[in-house]
Amino acid sequence: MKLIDLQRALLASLAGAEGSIAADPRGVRVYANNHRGQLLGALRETYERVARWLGDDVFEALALGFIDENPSAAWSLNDYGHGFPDFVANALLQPDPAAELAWLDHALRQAFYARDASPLTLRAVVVADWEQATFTFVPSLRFRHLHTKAAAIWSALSTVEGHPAPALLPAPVAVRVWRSNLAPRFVSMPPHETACLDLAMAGGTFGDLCALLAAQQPDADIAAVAGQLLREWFEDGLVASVA
Amino acid sequence: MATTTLPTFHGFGLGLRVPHYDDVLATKQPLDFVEVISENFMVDGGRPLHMLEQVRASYPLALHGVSMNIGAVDGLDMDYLKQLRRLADRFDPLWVSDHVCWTAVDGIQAHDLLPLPYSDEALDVVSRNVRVAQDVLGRPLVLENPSTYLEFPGSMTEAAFLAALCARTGCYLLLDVNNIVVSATNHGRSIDEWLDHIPLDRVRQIHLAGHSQGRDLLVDTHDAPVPTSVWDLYQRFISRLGPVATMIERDDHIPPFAELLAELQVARDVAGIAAAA
Repeated sequence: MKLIDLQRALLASLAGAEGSIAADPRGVRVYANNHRGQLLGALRETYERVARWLGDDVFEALALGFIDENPSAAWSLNDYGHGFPDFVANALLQPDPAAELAWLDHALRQAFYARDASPLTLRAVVVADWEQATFTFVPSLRFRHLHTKAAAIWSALSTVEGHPAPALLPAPVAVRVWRSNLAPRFVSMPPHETACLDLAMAGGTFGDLCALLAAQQPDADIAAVAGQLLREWFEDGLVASVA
Repeated sequence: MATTTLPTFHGFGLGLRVPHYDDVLATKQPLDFVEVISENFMVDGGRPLHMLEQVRASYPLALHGVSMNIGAVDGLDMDYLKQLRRLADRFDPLWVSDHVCWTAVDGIQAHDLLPLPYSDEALDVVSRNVRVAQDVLGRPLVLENPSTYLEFPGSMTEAAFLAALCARTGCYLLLDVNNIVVSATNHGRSIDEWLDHIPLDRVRQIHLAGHSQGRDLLVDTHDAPVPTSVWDLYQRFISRLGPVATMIERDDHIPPFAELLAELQVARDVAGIAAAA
């Protein structure tokens, strides 16, 4: 048998295709267990809060279903299971927060390994024309609207206390995820911050952000609101550069 | 070809795992080197690389990979190799090692060290890949014998395969004594054959670890202390090899750091006895 055919046959056996290779079934069993165990372990590690929320049995059944449909294409186990949040969303009845917990787990994991960038302090920023200033954010930053109480549940799952009931939120709330001082973090954002961050990440100027705030909050002191937002972004270490 | 001679390095080290980072960073431990899993640090940024910078400032470092896929019929993943090269250039390791196995085919990853037949075809494939890897990495490779649970028809023994690979490519060997015990037991092979045929002058490192009895076969679980069978074979090897970098691997049921240091002291004692014999 050519080497390539042997490799294809053994890998098919590990994925569950019985009789793919004429080899000692005891040995094939060890490799198959290792193979699935590695993928299951990677999902357990990345989606740790999902596993806690669902319980071991339900999580394992979901994970093995995902593994059956999604062979690993990346040499790093860190890159396995990017599609698991969508898989969970399709597999569970809404409004179970497991899918959004999975998104949060995954986003925090991505933030943990994201490219390094030194965040700017507001004091260090020199800008001639704030109206035209644009922002570059640290590579770990991302955000998404959540429809369930997944953020609160995620935090509560790290304590021995109870967690919120898995009800839908009255309105979707955006959560931003980033890395600060080597540690992944997340925080829920009010709507005006969400809109401004979305605009700023798309290249909007500080002037654009102020105009957006003015349209959303015509009675507010826009300079104060925008200044507060900026201070929070800098204090949280979100801003990598201002141009 | 980029292959050069690896400088001689002797000493006793540990496979460094996350639970023990604080131990090795809090104070200088009696370790001559530490080994880390390369892929855990082939990341864009964040805490792993930050920690490795600190570790490297205090200890010589060996990079040990599990995903090079040196038995790939279609050739190596050049992106992987370039990323590994960047890691090696940044941390200046004693050496870069991986396993004589295959880990993927047709783009599908097994995430396990799968066995090769010890055939002329496999030797051609692996030799070609080792040369490519050494060129891209700009340093010689050190390759480890894996534990195996299957054997395929071949034209030579594993030890003869490794000897031929070294002769063809100039690579070095990481002798995993536990893996020899596991594979030889599983396949009913003679351990003496290893002692007689392995090219001793190419061995740069030894791994020591524990294994467990699976349902049918010995399994390389790295979850237990080094057993007597492995210590005995280590003593036989070390009496022939002389001083060589020796390291204990523990990947599961990781004990307190002091326990691993005590186990490493046993390795020093065994090597000392072998040297005096």
